[in-house]
This record gives sequence, C-alpha cells and structure tokens, in this order.
Amino acid sequence: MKADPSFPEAGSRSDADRLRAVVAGGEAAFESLYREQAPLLYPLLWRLAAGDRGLAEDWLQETFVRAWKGLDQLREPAALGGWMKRTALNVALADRRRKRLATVDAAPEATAPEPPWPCADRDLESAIAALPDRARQVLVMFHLADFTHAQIAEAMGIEVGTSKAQLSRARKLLKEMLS
Amino acid sequence: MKSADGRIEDAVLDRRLAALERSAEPPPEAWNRVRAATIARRRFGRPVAVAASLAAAAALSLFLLAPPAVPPGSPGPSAAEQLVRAEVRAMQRLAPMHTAAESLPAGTDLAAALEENRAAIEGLLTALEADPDNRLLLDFLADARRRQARLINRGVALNHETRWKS
Repeated sequence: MKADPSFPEAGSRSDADRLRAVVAGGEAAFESLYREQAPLLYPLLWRLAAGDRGLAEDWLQETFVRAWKGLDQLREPAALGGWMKRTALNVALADRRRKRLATVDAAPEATAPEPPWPCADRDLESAIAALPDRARQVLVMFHLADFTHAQIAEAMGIEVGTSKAQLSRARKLLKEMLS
Repeated sequence: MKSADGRIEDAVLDRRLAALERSAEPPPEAWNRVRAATIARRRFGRPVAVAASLAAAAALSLFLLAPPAVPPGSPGPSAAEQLVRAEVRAMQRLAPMHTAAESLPAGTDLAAALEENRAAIEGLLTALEADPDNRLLLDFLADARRRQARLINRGVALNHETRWKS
C-alpha cells in the first residue's frame, strides 16, 4: 500500500496499537486506518457495484461507519485487514439483497463504466461490470478479495457448490466477452 | 492466447485478473463524509459522565422558554431570539416531556451534552452542504435534533421540579 506522507504513523504502528487507539476514540488513529484501508476496499466495492461510483462511495462510507462502531468487538488485531474487507463485502452484499427485493434488476448501463483510477485493462473491467450480479460477486470475492469458496458461501448465504458454479459461470461469460 | 473455439484460455484470464488494480485512492471528499458520520456518531453515543451543570441547563431552558419580558415601548425580541424560541418549540413537539425525562441516564451533564450535540448538528449541516442527499448524514441529523429536543425537555422538566420543591 502506498504510504501517505501526511500520516507517517500509518505504516509504523502495529495493528494492536492502532486498534486500541481507534477503540479509545482516537480520530487520528481512525483517519490513519482509513488512509490505509480505504484504497484497498474502494476497487473491490466499485467492482461489486458494477462500476457505479456513487454506490461504491456510499458503501465505503457505511463500511467505515460500521468499523467506527464495531471495532471494539474485534479481538484479534492482526485480523484487522480481513475484518475490514469482510465488513465492506457484507455492506455491499446486504445492500444488493435489499435492492433486489425492492426492485427488479436495473438494466445494465449502456456505456461501459470507466474505473476511477488509471486502468491497464479496461476491457476486463467492463466485462466484469457486465456480469450478472451473483456471478460478479463471486468472481470479485474469489479472484480479487482472495476469499475461499467456503468464505464466499458463508458471506452470501449460499452453498459452497453454488459458489463454485457461479464462479465457473462468471469465468465462462468473461471468456466469451473478451474473445 | 486463444483456444481452438476462439475463447481466451484460463491461464490468460487468470493472468489478466491477477494484474487488475488492487488499490486505488477514493476521491478526497469520501473521507470528509466518513469523518462527519463517524464523529457525529461518537458524539451521540458517548455517555456524558459528570453531573456538574444541571442548574446551568435548567437556567438555559428557563431563559429559552420563559415568555419575553418586553417593557412597554421597547422593541420586540430580536430575530435571533425569535429563531431560538421557534427552534425550542419545534424540538419540544418532537419529543414529549415524559419521554425525555426517562430516556437520559441519571447524572447527565445537560449543558455539556447540549453543547456537544449542538456542535455535532453544526458538523452534520456542514457535511450536508457538500452532500445534501446523503441519507446517512440526514438520518444522523434527525437523531441529533431528537437528542437536542430530549436534552432541552430534560432541562425544562428539572427546572419545573426545582421550582415545585422550592
């Protein structure tokens, strides 16, 4: 991760120290946590949001609100990064579930979404954004968040076999779109 | 590299997936939104520990709620004073007095809590200027206003109790 020169302590403090400082209400420690973790979560959330930048930013905000509220329940400081990632994915998945219940699936955007960062493989980003919701979620969690199928199944409330099937479907669709 | 059916091969797809960006800076305003939401939440959630200024809070509520003593011939209350009174009346309508008296922990430092909550409301309003449709911030603002109403009503209730006992 890129060090932020305005927060020199970000790379040098241990997770345990930082966690204690955040739980104690330290704004500087929380900002340092944000500066470190937000860049890792933002691309994941943008891809889960199918390239909807506003939605990804809403999810990012909600993730850190939950972190602010719930970090004191984290018993293992070394697991901080994983905890943040799970929280972000839970926020995104829960919001997607709510929207699926509330409305019919929105039509995909006519134009391919442009990633809000310098992107080396736009074709692949566009193809991921065009995947069906569940296939995209599984693909992003497996390939880009390094979740196992068991973890994906737990997070999404599906069977492990369903996760594998969705990944296979996503890869097949990607290969078709990129050919 | 493509297979016989023209599709790219698994290994190629894996390489391309592995090469995707894993880290990217969110826009700078994202931190401002997070900061406003988290600091506001901390202010609402933090218990106020010291019961030192109940009398001050009662005096404050008395000042805010007492009918204006306007001597004959003098100008009426200032616009700012009218605004404060209107705000207090609106807050009172939001939170009934009996609820207010029950819902705050004993020993709450009302003056400190009022000041802290007022600062939180200002912070939220500032954040909302930049992002007026932010649902989370709007929810927090509604919470803050309800809390302000409870605090003011608690001060009024205590003031009534004090007057009846004296």
